[in-house]
Amino acid sequence: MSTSKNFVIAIGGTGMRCLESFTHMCAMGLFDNMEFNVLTLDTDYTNGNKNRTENLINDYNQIKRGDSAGEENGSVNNNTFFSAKLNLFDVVTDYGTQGRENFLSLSNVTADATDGNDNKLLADLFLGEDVQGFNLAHGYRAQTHLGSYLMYHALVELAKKIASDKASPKEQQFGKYLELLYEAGSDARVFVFGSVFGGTGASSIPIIPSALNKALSIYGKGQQGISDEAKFGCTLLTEYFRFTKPKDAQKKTKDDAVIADSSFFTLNSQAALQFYDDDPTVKSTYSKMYHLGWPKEFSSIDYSKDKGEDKTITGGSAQKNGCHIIEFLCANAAWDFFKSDTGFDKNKVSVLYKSVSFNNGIIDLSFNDFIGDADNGNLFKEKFGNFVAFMHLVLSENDGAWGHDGTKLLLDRIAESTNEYSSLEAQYTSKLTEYFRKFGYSIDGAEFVPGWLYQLRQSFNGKFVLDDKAFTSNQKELKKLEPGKLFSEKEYHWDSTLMGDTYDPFVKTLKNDDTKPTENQNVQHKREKFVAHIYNAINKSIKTK
Amino acid sequence: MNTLIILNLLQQKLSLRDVDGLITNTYMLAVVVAIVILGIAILISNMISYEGGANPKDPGKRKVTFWVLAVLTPVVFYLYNLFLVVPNIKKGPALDKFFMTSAISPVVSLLTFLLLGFVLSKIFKTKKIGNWFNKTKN
Repeated sequence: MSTSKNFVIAIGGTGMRCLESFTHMCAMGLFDNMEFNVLTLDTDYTNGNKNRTENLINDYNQIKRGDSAGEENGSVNNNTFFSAKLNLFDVVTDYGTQGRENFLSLSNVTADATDGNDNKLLADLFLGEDVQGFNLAHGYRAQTHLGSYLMYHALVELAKKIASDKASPKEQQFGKYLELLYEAGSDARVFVFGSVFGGTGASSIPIIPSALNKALSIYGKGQQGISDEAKFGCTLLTEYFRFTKPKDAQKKTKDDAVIADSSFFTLNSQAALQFYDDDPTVKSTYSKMYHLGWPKEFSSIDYSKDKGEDKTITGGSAQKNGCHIIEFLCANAAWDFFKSDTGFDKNKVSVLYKSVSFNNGIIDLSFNDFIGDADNGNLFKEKFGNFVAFMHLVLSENDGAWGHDGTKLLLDRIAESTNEYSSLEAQYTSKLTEYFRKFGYSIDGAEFVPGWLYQLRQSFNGKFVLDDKAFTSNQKELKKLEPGKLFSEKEYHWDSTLMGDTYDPFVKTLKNDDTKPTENQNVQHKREKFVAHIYNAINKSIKTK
Repeated sequence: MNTLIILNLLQQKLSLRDVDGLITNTYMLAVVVAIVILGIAILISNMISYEGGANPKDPGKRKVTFWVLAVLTPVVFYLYNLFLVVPNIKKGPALDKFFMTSAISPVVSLLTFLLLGFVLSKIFKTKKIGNWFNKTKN
């Protein structure tokens, strides 16, 4: 059983993408010695972003896992890549079963609808006819007044189901999560990822602490509850993307009578922020709220662009939007929440923000702009730079992007000096290579397919920590890219030969005994040891180390 | 040093009584030449950078370097004997006596090169010269 006291909850499509960034931060090693219980919460089990993020976390755990029972998610490591341990829990509100597709059928207000029926009158007072009748399977479609109500109801209903032993094994995951939350007691830290301008995330953020507490009370038969000292944090992420405006023709069916319209996102954001600033429940449950926004002067990213969509995508497997730098900044907010020991005043919510200068549509982000400057900036520089270098070692230097198992080829180099990792199977090395394709890029035929990092890079104009050539998508340049020269600043380059080659000295370092994992890194299994070995070799290759 | 002695001896045409010393020195020189060329092979092999990718060429390049220099060692030593030593030996019994040495000493240099190369390659099998005798497909 996990003993982690750190909880992450990702809600809705944007929340999932923030969690994707958070997972990559864990892979970079920015959460050393930490374990997280991660809950993905959505109304839509087919949602592309949700599936993509959950698959990513499953890949992450495959990379870390041990062979014995209880080691499925690996162990908590220090000073290496993939150092944090992630335990994934998945909850989907059931709006797919017949009789649960919309508010009307779910609340049953039509069944006993008679003139003067209080429930019907109340529903009609707060919710328009189209809002009561649209299909909920693709989320709350920016109808947060309905969404908050239904999400609270969904979690409470699920807790009741578990308490009465009627829950499926998948649904029981939520019970386990509640149990862990209870066990964490006053040390619990819960961070919620979601946007405030859309549907599912915006609906859930205000009610999550109360809903979890209520659900725990039901689950624990009135004997359990979240500690008053537990700390809640969340992102207040305002609008940063848009998509095709829904056409009237698409809204003709009852199921699609309500479709989120991105032209109202600014208004939604303002309304949500006003609400959070005013609502006593929100203010008494959250300790820290991280306010993140995207400059209006910048063109917001268009998720419909170049997709030839003739109608608005409301959700489902087709909703697989690219990633944005702001989501990465949300993940950095989580870093601050979990790493800081101050600013948790139970009686006063802290709204935190950090501004970054921009000029003429250009925003230059240095390593000091993410988790802080000084030591934190250096930590970010090291972890981020080293992981991107690892990616290029696998994908660019060893052809991982071109369909080869780049990790296996690196492993072969180590195998020239030690048999330590000879038991690592091809399934493992190909999984790690696959992870890097998701993180960085891949080449499909002659086409360059951007992964998370390149999508972030493409989401804004300006510098992104490393030199621009570190993000080239030109295949010839990628083949010639030096993994040890990713920074513009020469002091962060690796040792090189007279001809400027950094791969050759790196392989020599990789073969040295002093790059083997140390006790301090607390790596338990072959897979974790291999990754730690690469981490050490990269670290030792840096000239100024 | 050996070369200097030999060159010094060769300034005067060598007679039969000088040939015994020349033979000893020639065999010693064969070993020295093999070691020097092996040193060059080590140097070149280390200068060949590790390559990434699915088909790295660097192990193959190191192997080729080793075998090219292995072939060159006896050839160079044979040519050295042929053009710098033999013309300075008096024809007749002295030359006849040196004839076998000029044939065998290149073989000695080759065997020395191969033997030392093999031993070093196995001792330092994790280093670049380890590629000389490993079973890589390249």
